[in-house]
Amino acid sequence: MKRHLLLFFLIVFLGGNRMYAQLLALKTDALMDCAMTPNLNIELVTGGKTSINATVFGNYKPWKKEVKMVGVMPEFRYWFNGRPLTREFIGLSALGACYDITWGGERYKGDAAGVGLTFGYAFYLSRHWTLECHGGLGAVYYTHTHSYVKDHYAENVHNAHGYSLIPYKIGVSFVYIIK
Amino acid sequence: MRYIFGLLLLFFTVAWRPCQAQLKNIEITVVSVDASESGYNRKEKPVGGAEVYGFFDFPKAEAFRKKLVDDLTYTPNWQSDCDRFTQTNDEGLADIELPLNGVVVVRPSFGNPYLEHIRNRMEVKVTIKNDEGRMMKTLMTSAKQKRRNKPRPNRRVGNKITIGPQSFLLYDSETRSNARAGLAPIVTVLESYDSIHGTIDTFEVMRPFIKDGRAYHRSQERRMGYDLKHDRLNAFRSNHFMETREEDSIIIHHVLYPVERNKHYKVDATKWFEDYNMVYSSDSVCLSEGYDQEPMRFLEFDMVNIDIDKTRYEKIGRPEMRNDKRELHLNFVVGEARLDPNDSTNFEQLNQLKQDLGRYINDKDGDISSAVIRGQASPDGGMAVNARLCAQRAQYLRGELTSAYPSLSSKTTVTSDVATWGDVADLLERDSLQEYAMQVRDIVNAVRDTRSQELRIRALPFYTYIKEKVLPRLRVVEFSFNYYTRRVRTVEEVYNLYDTDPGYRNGTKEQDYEFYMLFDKVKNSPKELETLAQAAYKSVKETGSGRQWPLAAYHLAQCYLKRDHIDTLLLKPYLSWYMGPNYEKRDFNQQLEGWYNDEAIVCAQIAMLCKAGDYTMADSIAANLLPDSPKFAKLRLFLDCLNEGWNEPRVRDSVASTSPLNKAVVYAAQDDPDVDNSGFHKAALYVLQDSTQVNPKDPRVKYMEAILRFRLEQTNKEVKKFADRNFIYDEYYDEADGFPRADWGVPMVECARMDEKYVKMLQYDGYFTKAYREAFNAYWKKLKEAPKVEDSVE
Repeated sequence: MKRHLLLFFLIVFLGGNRMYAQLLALKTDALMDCAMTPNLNIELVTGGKTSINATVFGNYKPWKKEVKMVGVMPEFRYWFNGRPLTREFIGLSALGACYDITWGGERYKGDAAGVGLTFGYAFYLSRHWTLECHGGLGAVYYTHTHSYVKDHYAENVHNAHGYSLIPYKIGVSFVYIIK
Repeated sequence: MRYIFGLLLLFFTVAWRPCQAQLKNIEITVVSVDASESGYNRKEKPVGGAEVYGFFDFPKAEAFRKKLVDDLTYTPNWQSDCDRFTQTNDEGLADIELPLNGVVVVRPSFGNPYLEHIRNRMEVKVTIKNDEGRMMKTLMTSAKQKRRNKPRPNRRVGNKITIGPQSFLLYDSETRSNARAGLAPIVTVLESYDSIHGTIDTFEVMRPFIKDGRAYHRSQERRMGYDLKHDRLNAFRSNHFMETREEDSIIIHHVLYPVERNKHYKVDATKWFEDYNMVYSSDSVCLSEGYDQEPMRFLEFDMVNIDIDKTRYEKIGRPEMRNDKRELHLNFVVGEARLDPNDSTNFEQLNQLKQDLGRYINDKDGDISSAVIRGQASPDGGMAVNARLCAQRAQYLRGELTSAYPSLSSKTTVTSDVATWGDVADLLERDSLQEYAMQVRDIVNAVRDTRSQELRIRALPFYTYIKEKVLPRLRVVEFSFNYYTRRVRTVEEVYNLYDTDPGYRNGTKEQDYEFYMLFDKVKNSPKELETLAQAAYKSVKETGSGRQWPLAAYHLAQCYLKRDHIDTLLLKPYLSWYMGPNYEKRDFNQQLEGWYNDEAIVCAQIAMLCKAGDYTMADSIAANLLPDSPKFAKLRLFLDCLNEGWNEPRVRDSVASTSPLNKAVVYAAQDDPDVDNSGFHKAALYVLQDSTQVNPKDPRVKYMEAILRFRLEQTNKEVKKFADRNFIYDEYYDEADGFPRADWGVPMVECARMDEKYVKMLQYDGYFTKAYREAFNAYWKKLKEAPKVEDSVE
């Protein structure tokens, strides 16, 4: 997982220098931030109507809940109106996350991966600032150990697997376009 | 059943939006005319306050109309009786949102309601007859918007044409905040139009005019990495932004300079709108049809004529040895040492040289003591071949000269050399082509062999320039000679020789100091002065600067001015932008090199430029090269006026005071958009109609009167056709009746009768409309064919 993440970022940053009309933007999802899940997004314009976006997020016991999570969400975006980082877009995204959640006396510890579609709209605020609203629906495959908190379950065995169609991406991001 | 209902609901929901989206802004124009008027010159008055009811379907509209006709007291409820409602404004215009297959019912405050189908038209005009209330419809099937872009006349002064400033409308159906509007004009020469092949010469591709929408600009800034210099069109962009669905405009302003005086220039443009994805609208428009308004066409002005201080250019005869040289650029037959018989300049140069030498050789008081002929060849084609050829060619010239003057044979030596590619680089540097020169020098330094140098230089992309513009300048033959004078003739002797010797009369025998003496003798005889000045200009150089003798050039220019011959290059070498007025240039040894910007020469050049119509350059020269002296104030005033300064009160009033015709010209030219100019135009007309101030037999007076009467008394510039009676004198006209005079075209007929060239002038005059031109031409043709046609012009 970590090797895949490292490979992804290497491609983005090393390959980006030769891309067309590159704008680079940094952003953070305010909704995630409100959920005490720090996140950082980088978006790189790759063409006249396309861009790639990468989100890295994680949390550790936000709001004193027993939730630990780390994940990454790369995304390829297509901007309909012809200008990246302007107005409406559609994206094909992927999700990869590791989680350890204790909720209602039950513990879920495992990994999830998925793909989905994202829709969004970027509002112009100023020369460098944009407000982006987006939401995504995706199919996620999970595999985790599901146990009761009081059980002393052998942690190396994933006893729960499955697919789920979930709205795995929803947010309001503040975007700063570096250049 | 539920499914059917659901499908129906879905259908109407989906279909309703497209139906709603088909609504268009239809322009309704309601005008009225007097029932007693007829013909094309009837006056249309806009009907304000007319009620316009819009309907989506005909039956409802027809039922409504019948109700209004049957019950004159019926007061419609616009919210329930119709689908849309509006009223015309004071100009008779109204916009109403209807589908293209909708119907309107127009109800003016007078007369019956009228029903009209839209029938896919964007503009509907309803003309109502005033007396009976019957409506006559006049329909315009134009798909254009409310205010239309029309071609406008240019303004021409001399050899400068100003296009605009004018607003080019962007219609609200086209404008978007996320789009860019562009106008790319191109100027073509009307006279070059070939109707057979459908081609026309392009004179100039003008700079584009760009206007961005606000959103477009923002995203463009980001797209260009926050540096709009990367956007090549940014330099042409307006600073204002267009918004979605708001009518806007682009200001067009361009100057064509210099243009030929006998040509006319049409301006067409490609108009386009593009958003982030594509060009969504594109069209060709005509900005100007090539008709020019020339406000200063008939301005009378005299240039300041100052006598030159000839002591600055004195030539004194001295019994001494002097030297001189001539450089000839002769075209020889390729590979041979004989002149190209097809090039007449060869023999002209040779004959001139023989003539110049004759002055000294045939002078019993002087002679040529020695001469050197140096031939130089260009480096292309091989060193050995070139060296042999240029030696042969120098010998050829020696042969030519010694055959004419055998005494030269023992005094003349011949040398020759071949120029190098380094010399080519020197000439490129002199032409300010540093980059090219550097490339040639790099090759010369890298390769020693001249043949290899040539091969590499031939491979350079700019070799064509070197071949056509540089190498010919290296193929020269130079003739240097020393001559002496034993005795200086007196003024009386020179005058006597002039009177008796034809060689002196045609300027072939004089030495330079003799020309200097003779200019005074013939100064009152323009022809003789010109002959002498020509000869002196060709043969005498200024010691120091090497220029042709300025005094000869000055006299020659004065002769040209007297007979209206234009040569703006003659005096150019004697002016310099880098030196002040009346500048005495000296070298580092304080030896006089020559005078620059002599005020007499500057005034002569200004006069020459004004004759050529280049008022811009004349004004620039006057501003920079003439001293600040009151004697030039009037000259500067007229140049200000000729350079579009006629709106300035100081210039206007000063020029107006110079003569009545000038007063009429400058008053008629007043076009300040911030001021009501009709008072000036009327004052100009008054002057032109006053025979105590201007000559009524002057065709210029009549032409100007025709223009002013058209501008002032013809109220509807939209008239498509004028009747003949506008060009026929109305002897029964009575001002007390209160009607405007309809025979405003009479002065043009009077002018044409005095001089037909003004009929041709009318063809491209932008003060007149196309309808006027056509009407006048038709009437003039009738007049020429059947002179007994009713016409009381005398």
